Amino acid sequence: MEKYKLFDAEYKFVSIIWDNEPINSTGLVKLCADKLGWKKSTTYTVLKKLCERGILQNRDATVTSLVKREDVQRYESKAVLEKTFDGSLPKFLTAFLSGRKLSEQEAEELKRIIEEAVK
Amino acid sequence: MSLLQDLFIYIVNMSITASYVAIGVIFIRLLLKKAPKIFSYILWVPVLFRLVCPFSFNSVFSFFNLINLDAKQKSGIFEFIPQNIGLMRTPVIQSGVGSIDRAVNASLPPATPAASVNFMQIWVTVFSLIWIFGVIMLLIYSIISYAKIKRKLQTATRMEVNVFETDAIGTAFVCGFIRPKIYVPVNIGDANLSYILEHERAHIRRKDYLTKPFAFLALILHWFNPLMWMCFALMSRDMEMSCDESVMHRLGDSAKSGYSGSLLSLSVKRKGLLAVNPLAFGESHVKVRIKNVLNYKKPAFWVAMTMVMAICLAVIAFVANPSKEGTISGEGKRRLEDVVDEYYLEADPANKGTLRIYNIKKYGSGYLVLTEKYRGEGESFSVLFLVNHDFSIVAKAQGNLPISPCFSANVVKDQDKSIVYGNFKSKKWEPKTDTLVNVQIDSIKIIFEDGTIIKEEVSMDKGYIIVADTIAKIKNIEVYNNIGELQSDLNDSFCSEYGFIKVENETVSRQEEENDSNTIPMPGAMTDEEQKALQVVKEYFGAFVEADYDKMRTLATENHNRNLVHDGDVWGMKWAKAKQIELIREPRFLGIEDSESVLVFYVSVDMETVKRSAQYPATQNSFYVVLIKGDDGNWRVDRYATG
Repeated sequence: MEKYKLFDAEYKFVSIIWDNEPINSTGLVKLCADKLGWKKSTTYTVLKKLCERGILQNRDATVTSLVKREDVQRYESKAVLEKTFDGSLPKFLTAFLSGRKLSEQEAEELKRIIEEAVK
Repeated sequence: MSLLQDLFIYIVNMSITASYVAIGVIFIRLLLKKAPKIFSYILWVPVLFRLVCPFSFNSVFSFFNLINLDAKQKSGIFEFIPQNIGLMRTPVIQSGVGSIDRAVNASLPPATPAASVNFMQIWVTVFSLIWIFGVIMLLIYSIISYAKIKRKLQTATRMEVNVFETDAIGTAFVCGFIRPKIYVPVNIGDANLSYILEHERAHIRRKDYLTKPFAFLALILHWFNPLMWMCFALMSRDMEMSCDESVMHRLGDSAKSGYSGSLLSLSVKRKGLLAVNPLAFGESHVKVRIKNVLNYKKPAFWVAMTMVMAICLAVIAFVANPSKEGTISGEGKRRLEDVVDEYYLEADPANKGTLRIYNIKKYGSGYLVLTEKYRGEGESFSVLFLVNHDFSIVAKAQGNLPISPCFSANVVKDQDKSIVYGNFKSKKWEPKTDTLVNVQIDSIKIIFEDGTIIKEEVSMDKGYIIVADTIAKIKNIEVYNNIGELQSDLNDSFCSEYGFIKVENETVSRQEEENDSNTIPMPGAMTDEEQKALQVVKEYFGAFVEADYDKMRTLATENHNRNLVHDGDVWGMKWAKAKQIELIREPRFLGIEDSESVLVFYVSVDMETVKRSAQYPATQNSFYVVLIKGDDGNWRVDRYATG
């Protein structure tokens, strides 16, 4: 699952592709220059690297993603849980909720998510 | 000596000079502990200057006047280690610290003229190779480090103009030389970010991103000097703190707590990064920096002004080299005058002239004093005294005073040094036109045959004493005015060589009388041709005493008879009596090459000038006589030369 580990810059980059796929590589270079301040060469370097790792693919100058945003997010949240809360969700929630109030709506939503997960 | 060795000796001399300045700066920094750090920061300028610039101007305000350095200056450069140390017969260094010098000099191998290469040269070569190797290694290391950082920052993403964030770094810094950009770690929080940006922008405003690499480059050149590593660390600290201060200055006191909070929360341990340590925000010494931020007060206006003045003075003092007579105190001068005065009274009691002290110069641990005391009769001459550090006269040497040329030059060799000394005059006599020409002399340049060149500022009323680390012959001496126009050189004058005469509290007049005997024995046997020529010179002057110009004509060339012999004088002289005739073996300093058909004799004379001569009543009491061998095999006097 190491595949899903993305650095900050890589995540921003892949986000651009999720938002705009399929996108041709020239357009991608423009977008990256605009949003990330990247040089053309940087864009291509990172693109190549992520293609090698099987996260993106570049066919006939068209770039698409091979992993979903949700997968990456799941991996990231798991990693945070493992690293900081010994993999314990309650611990994480306690820490997360300490000193802040939940709105009714948020509480309802959380209840539903938990019920779904227990089934 | 090759370029590399020369460069290396330059660097070592600069390093020693900079070390003295650095010690001074570190001391003053201690006094400035409570003051804003900007002042400490500025104080590093002279150290940097000394590390990269080998020469400086001279001033009485120089800090080096305070510390009694024995080191010599050569055209504004300190020479703790002589540039030609590899060639010296007894190599010596003068670091300015006696104990070090004695230890080092005792261990320096002397040059061995017989061997093809001498030890000292080998040592200098070895050390200079080690040095350049170190420089190259450090440069490569820095370039690689910089490239690595650059690669790390490649994927940093833009947050706003000129600000990029990346998770590859742990602390914020400025990077780049031409268009420096600010890089910050991700997720540092808005509050911190605003302070960080203030700090980094201050760095950019103050051009610190250029200063620091430049200072590091200087450090690389002086990598063998541990004191300079320490200076670099201290300088970096002062730079950060004065940068913090400049932020406080902009944001006002209310930002103190927030700013120091940011410093604390973002502090990182630097990971053994000695090369291109970028200008990091939370970089090291956080405790000291936070204290400094919290204690920072804008100093009152007049306090600030006083500080600014004081720091400017300090910077000038550290940048300037000591004045030429720098290290001789007024007290020392008075004592030297007394000693010389006393000597004349004892050695020459009949002399009722006034004693003139032209010039005093430090020499090793003692002094050289150039004096004149005219008896009122006979020829007047100057005397150079060698005085010990305990103010006892060790030796003396005679010197000429200029009569028809505008300067005199005398040389005396002492161990492996040449001491050149003499006086100036504001007019010179042009023999070709028989007129007096005004001159103005502000600097003198002495060129030796081994390539050593020494240039010094002089003042006309003081004469000059110049010490050179060579015993080569003098090729030429040139005097210039203050806009660099040549006023005269050895073509108009000549250089006499004297030896030091030991002075042991007794009169030395007897020795001088011996010197006045006719024709000093020649060094080395003379060839037949030389003997023949000498005979001609003797006959020629035999006729000159009688003012028998017709006989002189027969002993001379057409050129001589046309240009030098006038009605009633030869070269402005009514008559002349040779007191001393000496063959000059290598007359190259006269612009004459050794050859089969040209010989030069040095002649000192008693004579009378004709009233019409511009020189009247002055007397030129020594000159060179040039002889040419004719086709008939006879030697004839062709012309005179005055050096």
